[in-house]
Amino acid sequence: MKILLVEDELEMQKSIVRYLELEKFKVEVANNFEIAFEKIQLYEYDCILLDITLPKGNGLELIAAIKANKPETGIIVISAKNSFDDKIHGLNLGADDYLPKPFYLPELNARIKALIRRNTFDGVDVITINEINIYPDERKALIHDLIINLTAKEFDLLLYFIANKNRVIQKSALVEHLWGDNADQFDNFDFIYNHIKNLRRKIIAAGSLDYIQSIYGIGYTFNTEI
Amino acid sequence: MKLLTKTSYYYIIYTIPVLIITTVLFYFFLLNEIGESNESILQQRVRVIQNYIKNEDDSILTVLESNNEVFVKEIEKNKIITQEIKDTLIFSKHLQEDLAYKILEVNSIINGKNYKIKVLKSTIEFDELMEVVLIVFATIVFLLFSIIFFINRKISEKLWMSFWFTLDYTKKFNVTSSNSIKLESSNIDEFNELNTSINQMTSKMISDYHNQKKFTENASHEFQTPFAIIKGKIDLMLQNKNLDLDTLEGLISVDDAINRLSRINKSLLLLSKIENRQYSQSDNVLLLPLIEKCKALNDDFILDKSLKFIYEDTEELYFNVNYELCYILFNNIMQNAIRHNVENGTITVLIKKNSIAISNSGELNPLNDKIIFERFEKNGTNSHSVGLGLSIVKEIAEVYNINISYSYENKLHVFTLNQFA
Repeated sequence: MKILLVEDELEMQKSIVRYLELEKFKVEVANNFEIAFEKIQLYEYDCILLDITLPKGNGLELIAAIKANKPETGIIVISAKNSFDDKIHGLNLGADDYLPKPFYLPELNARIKALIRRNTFDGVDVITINEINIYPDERKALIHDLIINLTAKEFDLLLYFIANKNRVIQKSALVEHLWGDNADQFDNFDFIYNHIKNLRRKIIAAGSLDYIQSIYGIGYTFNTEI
Repeated sequence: MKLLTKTSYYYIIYTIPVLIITTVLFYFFLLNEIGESNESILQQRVRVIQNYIKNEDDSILTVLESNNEVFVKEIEKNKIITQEIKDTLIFSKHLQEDLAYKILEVNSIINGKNYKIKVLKSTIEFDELMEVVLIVFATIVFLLFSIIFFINRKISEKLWMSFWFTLDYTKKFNVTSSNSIKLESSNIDEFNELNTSINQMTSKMISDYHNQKKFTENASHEFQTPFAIIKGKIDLMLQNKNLDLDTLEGLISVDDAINRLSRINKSLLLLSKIENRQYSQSDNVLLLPLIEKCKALNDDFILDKSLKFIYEDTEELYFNVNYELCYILFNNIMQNAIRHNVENGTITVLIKKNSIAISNSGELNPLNDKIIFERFEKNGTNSHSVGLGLSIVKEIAEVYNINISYSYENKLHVFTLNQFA
């Protein structure tokens, strides 16, 4: 899977590249509008991560160029401008997703995977981890070929865990993934604990291994190497 | 005291001494002139009498003497009377009062005989003179002040018109309003200068205000990138298997702090955007579905505290407001009601014909309604709260003419909102 990262902040670039390489993505970078434009013309990518505030041009203009060249390329706009108008504008131009800075790298990873999956399999796909099969579009999860009953939140959690399997995920990243800005105002994230506890119980009850491990005071990891 | 009254007051203060001094001078000048003129008239009479005596025209002399105007008497040849003018009072039988007279006595030798000639002339009295002078003075004062008053009236109407206009302009001036009308130049130099300075000042204020607005916005945007870099590094470091638990915990704390900073920054940015009226479009928003949306989004938190959510009244109430901001407004109130609630508490929504009230159980003390809407005003020791939620609510309410009030009734904290057209 090939990804183009259009981002002018060097340190930001490095972090994203390192994290995505852990996930076995091939990542190329473009520092400015011109390089990005050139790469778009020359190569094919599965997904393009686009910072819209760029030296030598507006990232939004690149969207049109990408769509003109290879319409099936997924585009995720990452922007420091968390403005509603920019978001709507970007999505109208043909971007697939919009992620305001600052964000969690596991969140970015999960969104890239979801996007690539949607684009590659035309919506009919299955994610398989050992005995677990997940059909994201039908919001269905099977363990040993039996459907397990998950709430919406539990299903989202499982999908997120699997996208970031074997990574350490902070509690607050999970909270933000499930509740977004709405969780900002709340002082303790204990309510996430119940959702995870239930998910874990349901997975074990279906005869699966205890993949979800908590790291006290830090967060969780979905460990497939046990 | 009005400038006009003050000016008139000073006019009067300075005019009165001048008038008094000139009146006194006028009086003495008049007195002197009258004295001189009396003297020359008396001397002229003496010469006429001398002529009559020389011509032995006794009949006229007799007439004059009977009128008490002239006395002629032959005296010893060697007696000399030096010419001198004296004042005297003579009782007038006709007027029944003493009258002032000037008397000139002199001797003169005519046709070899020595005569004493005494001439009298009634003259004006001091008090009469004083009376005349005072009447003139009073008339002058009266006329002068009337004219000053009248002229000032006219001046204030005509000349100051431009000033009143300028004053009205500065009163109505609003730095946030986009249409900046300039003051027009006046044909009076002073006012023209005033208008020019006010124009310069207002355009400076407007440009400063816009720069500050831009600065706040840009600064907030610029902050997000470093936050993103720090968060990215933390996410990467967390994946490092060689780090011990203490280090990881440290990283989580750093991340929490960054999240808080970022939240404050986002809230401030939102506040400045609301202040800058960057949410122009407004819609007629039906409140009940919006409240239901807010509730649904916060369901997990409501369940977490086992709160009872009650709709007491659900009339059809619309607010004319930008939809996104309206959502932020009610979501903030709702989150506030959840956060400050107690386990198994209640949240009650009451939508009436023209007002909506959201009340919640909580701490058994009324909040200080003077400060709850202030920025960074936190109730209690909730470290995650930024203290901007209610000031955002207040700001949105103000922009859309929504009146929001807090009250503490029946152990419930009540926020009531109503929009006035």
